[in-house]
Amino acid sequence: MRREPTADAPVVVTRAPVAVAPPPIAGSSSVASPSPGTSAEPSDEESIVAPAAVAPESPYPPGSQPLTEGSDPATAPPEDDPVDPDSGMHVVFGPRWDVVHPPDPIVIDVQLLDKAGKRLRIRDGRVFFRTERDTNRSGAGAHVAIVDDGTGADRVKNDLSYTATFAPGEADRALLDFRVFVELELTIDGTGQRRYVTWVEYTPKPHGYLDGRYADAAIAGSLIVQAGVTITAGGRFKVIGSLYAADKTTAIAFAQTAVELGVGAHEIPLMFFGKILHDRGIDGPYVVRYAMLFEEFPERGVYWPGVTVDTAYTTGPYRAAAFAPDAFVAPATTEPAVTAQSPSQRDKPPPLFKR
Amino acid sequence: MMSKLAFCISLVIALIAIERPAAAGGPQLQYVWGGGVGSNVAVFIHGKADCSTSMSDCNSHDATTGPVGYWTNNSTNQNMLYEATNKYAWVNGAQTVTYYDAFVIGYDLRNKSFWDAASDVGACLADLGAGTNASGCNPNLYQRTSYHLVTHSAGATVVDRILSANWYGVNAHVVGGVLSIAPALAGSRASSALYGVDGYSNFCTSLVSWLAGWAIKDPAAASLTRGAVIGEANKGYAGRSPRAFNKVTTTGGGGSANNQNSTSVNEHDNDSAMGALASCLGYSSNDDMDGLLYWSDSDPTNNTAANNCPGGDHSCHYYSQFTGSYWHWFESWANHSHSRDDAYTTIDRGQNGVNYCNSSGCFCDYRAPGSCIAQGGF
Repeated sequence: MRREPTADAPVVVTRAPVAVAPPPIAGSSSVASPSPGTSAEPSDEESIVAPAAVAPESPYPPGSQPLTEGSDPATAPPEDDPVDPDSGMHVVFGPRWDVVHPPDPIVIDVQLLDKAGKRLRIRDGRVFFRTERDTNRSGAGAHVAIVDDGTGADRVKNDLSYTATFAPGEADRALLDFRVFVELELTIDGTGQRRYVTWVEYTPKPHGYLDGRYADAAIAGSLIVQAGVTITAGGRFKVIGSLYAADKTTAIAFAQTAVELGVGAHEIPLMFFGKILHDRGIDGPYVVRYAMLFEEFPERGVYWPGVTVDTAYTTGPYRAAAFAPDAFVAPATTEPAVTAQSPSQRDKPPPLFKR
Repeated sequence: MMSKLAFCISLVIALIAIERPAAAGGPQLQYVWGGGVGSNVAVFIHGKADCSTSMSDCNSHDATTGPVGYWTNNSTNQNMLYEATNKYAWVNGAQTVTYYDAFVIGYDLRNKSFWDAASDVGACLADLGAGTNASGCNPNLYQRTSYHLVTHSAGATVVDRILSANWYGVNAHVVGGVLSIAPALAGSRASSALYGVDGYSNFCTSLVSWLAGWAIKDPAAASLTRGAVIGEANKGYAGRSPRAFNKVTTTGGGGSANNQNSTSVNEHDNDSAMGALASCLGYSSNDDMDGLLYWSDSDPTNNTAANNCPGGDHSCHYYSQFTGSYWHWFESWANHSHSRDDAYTTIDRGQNGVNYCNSSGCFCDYRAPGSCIAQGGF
């Protein structure tokens, strides 16, 4: 249930009230969490609580984690934005592929839906493509119309599933780096013009590729899959992969590893941690899906993704119980600790405020 | 003498330049509170704002205050970092206190996308760990080899990227889990839905003046669409943190965008707009919000059974990509704005006394998440 807000009536979210526990006395041993969903203004004492416990340390090493469901790294979920909150009309749109390498076109799929999910007609629409620093320039940049005529990448004519197909030309070279800003402009009968945004990766390929060489072994209680790569220019490279059961549908673990590599053939190890495999209790052979190579540029916060390899590799047979059940323990640091009390810090400027 | 054509061209170029975002500033490290012994250090990473060296919109503060302005209540001029770095204990019948150093990293999360800004924050954290100044944020060469991380809003998105990608060697310096207040870990529906808010013909139009302050059309806000953030997670650049994210979310339900209907709090002028925003964004009862972010933005997990998710509400949202530890820590009554400056604390109790201990135990105030940062997070 929702009531319409105004500037003077700010609360728009209502839910059936729940019973409010008697407020504990601050400082007493009887403390309770605040009561979500109550509509009454809380007293001071109601919100004074013993702090909740924080998360336990992760039992898995960096780069190796349990997986409940895998996904193609070349994809991204669509945006789902309201058009008319009162009627429930909304627009679902996004890149068909989140990773696009030239000369492939960028394809944006658009559907206008009513509250029940039925597709609606869009009177007019177009999609603009700009660099990430040009996000605020509405209605500017290279653009194409959305169509439902079965041309370009539009799959079916007149099915009310619209498509924009954009093949950047030489004049659009500035778009080729990392993420391209995508602005969807729609004209909808009865509601007028709307603008929504999403992103798509339009990038060069990394200076290297997964070359199809793989190997696997149980090492120190974990499963190690070596992914062969051929590098054509030195840099920092990352491989990711998702481990599945032999049925290729039951996801088990995700792994990623990044290393500095020079030109030539190399192997990048993906570690699927023993405790994950042991606790899951599914025997091998295992299948590596959704493998991808990336070239990374941390100093700019970006990377160039490669091409998804699915299915990448099937390992030899393993017994899950044979993998180590132990939790990960981070190695002790060998770096000398530097604190505010260290000699190097004693003469530094003091903090802004004094307690 | 300039021709008419040349003049027109220069005018057009000037207008285009005016429309473009301001030049992005560099990161800056500010040492706000001292007293920390050993690894008792906390670094605070702000959300969507420009608190860089250019300081264009750091919660209405400017270069005279530095990035601590983001965490400062405009009405009282008090900052939440104080209480967030005082941890009390009850020892031999008396209350004792342990201090934590408080550092703030200011950076440009307005003119830069979150992935661009993450490189500034990562480089600055690396400088703090090494006592260097490669990023330009640490001219005083402060060094702390171990520190806790505390984030607000999209600061969590930035830190999640750094830790998930394992860039800048930051993982090795972090103590415990990340304490993330109102985190935008899964992006925000607002960043896409409100881009064209000017075109709305309903009451959302009345919010535009307020939304302008949040600059929904700037590169930072625009970068935080759910599609973009989850797309990054698909590739291992989000959602894979080996360090636990301890999430402080909203209570949801009636008044969650408005401090449980309470207006007896300083700096409440944005509360009405926050409440109204829920309807502009297409509120669903399964998707409660804190005035800007939904539960599904703030509380992602891939294991709702094992990450402390409450069974009685709809809080934790399943995203298969969040394979790291994303822990539902507690739900705060503070809305998205007040959760970064502890507005209740500064009006009701002054700077001291929100978190405390006595013979019955130690306590903090869920309306003022800063008090629980120190008392339960460190």
